[in-house]
Amino acid sequence: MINAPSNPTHKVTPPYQLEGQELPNGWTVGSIVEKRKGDTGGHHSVGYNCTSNTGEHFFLKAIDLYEPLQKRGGNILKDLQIFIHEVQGERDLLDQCRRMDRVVTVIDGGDIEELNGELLVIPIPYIIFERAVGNARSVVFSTNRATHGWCLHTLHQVAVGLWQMHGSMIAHQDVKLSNVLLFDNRKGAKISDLGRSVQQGRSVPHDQMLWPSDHSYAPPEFAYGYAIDEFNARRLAADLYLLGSCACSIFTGVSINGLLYDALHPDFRPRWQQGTYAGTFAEVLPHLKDAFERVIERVQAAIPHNAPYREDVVTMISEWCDPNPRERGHPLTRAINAKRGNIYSLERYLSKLANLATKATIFDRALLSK
Amino acid sequence: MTARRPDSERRLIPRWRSSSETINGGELRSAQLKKLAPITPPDVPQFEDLREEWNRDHSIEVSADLISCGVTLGRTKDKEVQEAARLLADAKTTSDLQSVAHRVLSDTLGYIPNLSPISFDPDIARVELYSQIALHKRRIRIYPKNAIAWIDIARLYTALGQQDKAREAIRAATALSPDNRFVLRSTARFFVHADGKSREDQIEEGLYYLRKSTLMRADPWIMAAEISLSTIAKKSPQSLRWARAVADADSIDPWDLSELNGALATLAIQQGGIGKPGKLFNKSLRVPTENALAQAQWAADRYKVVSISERIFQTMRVPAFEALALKHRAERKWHEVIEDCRAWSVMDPTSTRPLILGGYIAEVALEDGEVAREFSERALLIAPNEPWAHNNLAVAFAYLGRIDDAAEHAFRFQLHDLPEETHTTYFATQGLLSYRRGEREKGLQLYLRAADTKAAQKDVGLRAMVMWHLLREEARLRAPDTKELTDILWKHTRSLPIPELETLRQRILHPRPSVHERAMALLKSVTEKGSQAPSIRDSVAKDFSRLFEEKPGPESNIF
Repeated sequence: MINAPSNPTHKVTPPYQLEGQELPNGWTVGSIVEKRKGDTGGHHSVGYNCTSNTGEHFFLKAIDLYEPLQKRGGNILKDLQIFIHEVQGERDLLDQCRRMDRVVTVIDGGDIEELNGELLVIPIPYIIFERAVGNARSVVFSTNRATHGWCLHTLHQVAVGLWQMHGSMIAHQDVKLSNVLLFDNRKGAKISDLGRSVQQGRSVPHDQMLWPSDHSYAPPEFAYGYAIDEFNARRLAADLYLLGSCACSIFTGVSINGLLYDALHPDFRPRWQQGTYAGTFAEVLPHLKDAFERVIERVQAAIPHNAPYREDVVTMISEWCDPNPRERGHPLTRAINAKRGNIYSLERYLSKLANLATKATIFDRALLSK
Repeated sequence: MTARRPDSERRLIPRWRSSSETINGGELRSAQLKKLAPITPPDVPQFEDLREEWNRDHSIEVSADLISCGVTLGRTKDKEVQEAARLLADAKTTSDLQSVAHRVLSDTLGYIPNLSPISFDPDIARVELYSQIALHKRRIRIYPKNAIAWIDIARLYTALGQQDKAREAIRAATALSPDNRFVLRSTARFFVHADGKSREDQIEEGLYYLRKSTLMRADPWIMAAEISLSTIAKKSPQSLRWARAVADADSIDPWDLSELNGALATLAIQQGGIGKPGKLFNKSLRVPTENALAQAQWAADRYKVVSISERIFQTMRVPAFEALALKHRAERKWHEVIEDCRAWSVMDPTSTRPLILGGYIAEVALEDGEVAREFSERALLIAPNEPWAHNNLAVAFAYLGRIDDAAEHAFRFQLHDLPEETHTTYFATQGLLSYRRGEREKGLQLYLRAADTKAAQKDVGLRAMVMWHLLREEARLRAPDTKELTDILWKHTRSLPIPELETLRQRILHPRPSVHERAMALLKSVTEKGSQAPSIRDSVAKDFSRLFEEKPGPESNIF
């Protein structure tokens, strides 16, 4: 008989009852992690604290295969099949990302087949990750706002993480501040939550969707139903947009979409967003660019006038977030790689960002010393 | 004599307002709104999580995330988003976050404020235009791929008469966005009025951009422009077959079809087989744009094919200054026409048409040199190198008695530099100056030469205007036989569609007494009444003072 969980809000299915369980390789499952600020993903999974046999703390993600089964209506078998396919896809991608130092690393994984001595009808797959101290969103918006030096340093690390993933033709598709986890006393940042990621040549169910991730962060081409077949222009260009959105949130407090749709007249907003626009993406693009220009002005105004990194940051955001996916990225990279190679490569930005982070740190210190 | 009479023909060329005015006026919204069914927004579980999270945790970070997502998804009316906005509006956070929060609370998201309108006064207008150009240059520097900003700057350069810079900006915009309604309509408008190459080449270029666009087959606003430009170029409109199908579509909002039906109606006046102009104009007037209403008003005055209810003017989204000017002209309300033309020019500072009409009314109907000068100087801002603009200013100065200033503008161009169609006004203005200098014989010869030019021979209206202007100068000199000549000329020209002729005729028949004549009349009355009553003496003295303090009018140089 399976005991009811101590927290009455928790569900009674086995994935919620792992506390105290001993797992292979010396892992001990600790308490359920309450949904923390910013953890907006994690559907069909339960988070736990977890300790190794050396006493180090980690994070365990238990996949909840019971939840799709409990859903009423629809095609249960099909839903379950899709879900399993997605879970398997995430595990495979995480496996491929093991050697990427700016992507949250998988430490271990497996399936729990027994619970409290009873054999489970449906096993519980689990993945153990390194444990973060928080996420970038809470630091950026904390009362003592993060310094621009820290922000640019973090942004550099996120860009490195994306560059590493793009090198294996994996597009993250869900980059946002809450998915940037912090380690080493907030000095190190890594991208997490590959649940919506896609890899070129690997079929996962959510890749069939025009936009597989959070619609609130979707680049405008997806909001207007503009489908591009080519992987790079469809997926890597979207990652650049999301990276720019993180930068925009850091400097203005508002995501790029928040600012863009604030600057866009309702006549040009898609109808599903309570707008009245009914034309094509190509037709609305000039108006998106017009609104985007106002956004860039706002970003520029948000950075101190005398900051030595101001112009470069504004240029990078305008290159990452261009409303036209085919015009995103570094202009030189686009020109050189136009015929062969990845025109959305982040390589040119990495040293630039590292340099800007240093400049910003010096600038921050100068401000503090005044 | 003023060059460029108000157009006897009118085509439905797109109006050129700033991007913000055009957007706020609803001219760029999607057509076919009537056809579309309501849409259900997609499920966004992440947003639901955020709402839940906000209910647990009213922190700045959750509020900021919620508000960004709410704005993006169009969920700003949700209770949680509104509460988060209220929290952020008063919180110590970034100014952008606060600004978005305030816009969520005031429901003004997406609102684009209009820039200040360009003043009518040419000196103030010049300063305002340069200042707005600087603003748009900054926009382009920040993001050069913004075609809308290129069009906005082209408009300002056009209003300043800097056609080459405007043309460069237009070409940049069409290269960036060849399939955008605002870009295409503004481009069409630019090339209809642009100077430089031959007029045919200009219109050809405008048509080229319209015709290569995919919108020509689908967008009624682009079809309207293509039909109008084609008729100016005396070519068959290529969009006609699609236009006829679209114009009858019930699914499309009448507002979006207003200009298309107006363009088709105008075409129907010229050629058959399209439909009855009146019927098409009535369709165009169901929910008309200000431009379509002006077109219908023109057709009503010129061809009597449609009648326009007074009520339409009161229901317009944008004030219909041109339509009002045309209506007031037909009603011979000259001062109202002047005011309408001023407002029309402020609304569309790139257009010389309000300035031509206003200047013409000031000169012909009101004989008001000061107002004519205002309109002519404003026209010179848009068309600084155009002979007609200098001619009109010369006429205005002549009316004000500033003959030397008038001569400076009148003699700026040599006859052999001017196109043949402008020779008539060239000679007539020379004649005017001669009359005003007191050289009657020379003036008479010049006016007769004007009436004898090829252009005047071909155009009855033009010849009539020359003769009426000649008669007016004769009348000012109280020349004998003026009345008989006026009657003869009236008999021959009364049927011309020129509403100002009757007013001009009346002024010739009953000229305003000159200062000299008024002074003599007063002296006579004093002599007749004697100087017994001191009150009469005083009033005469006052009248004298008043007379001689008058501003110099057209008569002052004679006195």
